[in-house]
Amino acid sequence: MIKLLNTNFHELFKSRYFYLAMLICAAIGGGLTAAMYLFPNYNMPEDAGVILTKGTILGFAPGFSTIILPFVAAATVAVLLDSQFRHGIVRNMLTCGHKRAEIFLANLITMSAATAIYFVCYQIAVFAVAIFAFGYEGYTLKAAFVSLSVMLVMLISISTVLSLVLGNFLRNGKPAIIILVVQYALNLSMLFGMFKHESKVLSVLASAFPQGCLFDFSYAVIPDGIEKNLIISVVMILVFTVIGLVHFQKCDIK
Amino acid sequence: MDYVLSTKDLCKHYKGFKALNGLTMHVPKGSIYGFVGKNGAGKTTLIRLICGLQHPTSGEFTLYDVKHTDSTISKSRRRMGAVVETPSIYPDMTAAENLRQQYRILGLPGFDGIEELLQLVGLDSTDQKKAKNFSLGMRQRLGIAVALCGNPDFLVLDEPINGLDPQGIVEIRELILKLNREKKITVLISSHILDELSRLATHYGFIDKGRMVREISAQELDAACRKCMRLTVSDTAALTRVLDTLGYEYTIIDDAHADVYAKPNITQLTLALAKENCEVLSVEEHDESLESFYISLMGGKGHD
Repeated sequence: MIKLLNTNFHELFKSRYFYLAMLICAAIGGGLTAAMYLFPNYNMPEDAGVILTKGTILGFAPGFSTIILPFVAAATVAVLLDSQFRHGIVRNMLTCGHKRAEIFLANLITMSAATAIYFVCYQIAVFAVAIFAFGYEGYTLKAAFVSLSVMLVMLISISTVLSLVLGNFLRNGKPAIIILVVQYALNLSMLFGMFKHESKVLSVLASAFPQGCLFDFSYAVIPDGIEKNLIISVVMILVFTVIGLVHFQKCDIK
Repeated sequence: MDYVLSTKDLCKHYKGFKALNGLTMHVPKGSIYGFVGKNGAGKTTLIRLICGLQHPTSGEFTLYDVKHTDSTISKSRRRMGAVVETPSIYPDMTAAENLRQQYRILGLPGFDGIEELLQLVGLDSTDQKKAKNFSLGMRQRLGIAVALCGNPDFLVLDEPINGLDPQGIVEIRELILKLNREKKITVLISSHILDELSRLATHYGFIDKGRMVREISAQELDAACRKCMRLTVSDTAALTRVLDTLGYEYTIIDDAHADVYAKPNITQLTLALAKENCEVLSVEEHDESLESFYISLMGGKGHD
């Protein structure tokens, strides 16, 4: 497993795409924060349950990473996994005597680490813009910062695992488009939370999808029930991992 | 005889299609085993099973006497290097970086021997050129170098000379022969190019529709394909006496036919046979190449 992690991380750090993705995440984080400061309530529905003011923007800006970063993470998975299958890297690892579970988990860890790095880039850019451009002074509630950051990384990781599972399922096709479409559909579940007060159905759906609670997040306060959301996220990650592992153990590789 | 790889009644079924249908084969240690069969015969499927890319539907194979169901099969696979279909290479890396990456996959402690490997396959002067800019032959040689990392003693090559130019074919052939003779590496090589295979192989396995049609050593094949005169006579007992007297090497095939492994003086032979009251009914030159042997073995069937 260590050998494969060493190989995968080396491949990741050699990939131009990885650095491009880091730049994109930082640019989006910084750009979004600046845009929210300059136009706080642009295009925001009245009943969205979110009130943006210059004082609360930094409470919400980091949370928007769960909308954008899953796409970047999914694209990373799609690009790296597609490359591994297309260039016979997975085939070579198997021929060298590595177990399938090791290969799957090594990919999962590498790509989750890439996701976490993207998240850090996004957050650094958000805070850098807030502090240096708009004079933000910092959070008083450190616990909220930590717990919500963990929560956000979890949400993004769900997308990473799901992308990896889909990528393995579609290894002989073109996984990138399907992975991104599924990711987009998953992101739409945020809308359930946005409008959950309007309908019982939307309320139920919002609680079923971890992303449904996004608009309840704020770095200024720890939301109620965050532990439930964490548990749902962990369970989803585990379920997707097990599904992916079982499938990868049995599948034929060309 | 020691076998590196043995399969017994190996089957691999896909949806409604039997790619391997009870294949039994034996790859002797130290041999270059030419695996011959037409498209879709099951050559690549077998290689995929050996490499662990796919699981057999039924039957078994052993690699270095370890059954495929045994948990230690992974260790046996570490003694093996393979190039399946296309070489496994990172296109954005140089040749040396590709080998270093393979060393990492194998968990080798250092990067010793990379220069020697590059020299062995003739890629030591590629410097910073990335693998994506390599020619087909260079990629193939890099694939072989990758497969040779960790000093395997069994090399599996799936169609290694497909698409190569004549120079590339010669280079790969010489490389395979060098590996087999100098490093004592057993090689399993599948190919359509029979003429090329006949210059390399010490053993052959002919496969059709997922079944082994015949396994034969190069010596046996040479004997079967040996240039000879096939005589049809009225009395083979008389022919035997005459050929013994004349000192020719021969094989009696049946009551009417015999192969003579020389170019006899027909007049002298006919006169000698006439004295023994034996009639010569026909004389034909018999020369079988690997290609014609393959065609006669497969019954001259075309592609399905």
